[in-house]
Amino acid sequence: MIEADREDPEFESTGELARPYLSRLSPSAMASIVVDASVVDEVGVRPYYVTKGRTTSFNEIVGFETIVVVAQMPSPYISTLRYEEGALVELCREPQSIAEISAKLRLPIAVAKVLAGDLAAFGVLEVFAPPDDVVDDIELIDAVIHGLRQL
Amino acid sequence: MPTLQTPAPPQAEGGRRIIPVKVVIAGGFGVGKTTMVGSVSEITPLTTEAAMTNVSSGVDDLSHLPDKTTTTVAMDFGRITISDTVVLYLFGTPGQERFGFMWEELTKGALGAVVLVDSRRISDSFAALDFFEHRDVPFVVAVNCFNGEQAHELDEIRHALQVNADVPLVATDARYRTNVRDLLITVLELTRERAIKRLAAKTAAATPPPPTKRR
Repeated sequence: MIEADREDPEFESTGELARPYLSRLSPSAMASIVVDASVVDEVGVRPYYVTKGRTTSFNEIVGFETIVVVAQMPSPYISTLRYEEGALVELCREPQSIAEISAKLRLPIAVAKVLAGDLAAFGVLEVFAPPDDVVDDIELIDAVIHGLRQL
Repeated sequence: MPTLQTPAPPQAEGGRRIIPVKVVIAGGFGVGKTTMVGSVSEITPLTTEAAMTNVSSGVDDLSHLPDKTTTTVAMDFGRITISDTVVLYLFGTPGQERFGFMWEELTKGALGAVVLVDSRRISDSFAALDFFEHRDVPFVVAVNCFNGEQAHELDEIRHALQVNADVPLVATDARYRTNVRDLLITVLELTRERAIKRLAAKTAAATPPPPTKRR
């Protein structure tokens, strides 16, 4: 990864960096990191600290409604998790959407996505993404109408 | 239920299967989105925040904080368990133009949407209408009737909003579970109708037309 970035024509080492993780990123990648001051004020910790500066995950999760749950046979890595990842895994003993994780753990939604995506990539979580082309899935639409009528 | 022919998704172990779906509720500040979500949700509506900058007034809790340069957009959402496999999420999102950045992601993959209108402040719903009119997401316009009263007739409201005749426009009261349930069913029925039309058009396109005989 470092080699690849060194080959980036835009990459140029700027010597000492206050945030060491940034030294691994090319300027174009750094530009994509958005840290919002208002979130920092409220949360107290820069939210992307917990994602090690990344705004994308090893396993991209799309959709606030995507549900994650601890895998039925999670990888042994699960026992090493602490802090935000540990809290996320505890929460996800029951299926939770990304939106629920964000609200309950008070994490920005983008951070919840990155953390959950990583944990899925490491075999800790199982992901249930919304199906493609839901608006053409007549059986699914009927199931939802039927469910609503039972309310 | 779509179970027999559909192969299990690769990540599903041991036959576990969950299908999340969503409906989006858009509308101006204070129009009753949170109330609507709360009326049918099985969980207390939760709030997650999307950070914003350079907004000077008009936050969703109606407390005006002038000169505030950063604020957060509260997105309220609730959940309805439809069946053993299907979970429906309702996302309430501010309908103002400046929140458009959230809508693309929020509406992608949505089964449908509700544009909630306060008949005393119809212009608050214009941005949401503009957005949904140019997307494939089926939507219904719902006029929220406060205190069971409606300031204007629905026809007048349709005219004022310039909503096409093929978009359902209904009166609702966001405080009542049955009203909101029926509204959601109206949205889903519209979605179903569109799906059937598309399927019919596809089937017609796939079937070669009968040879025309000219004499």
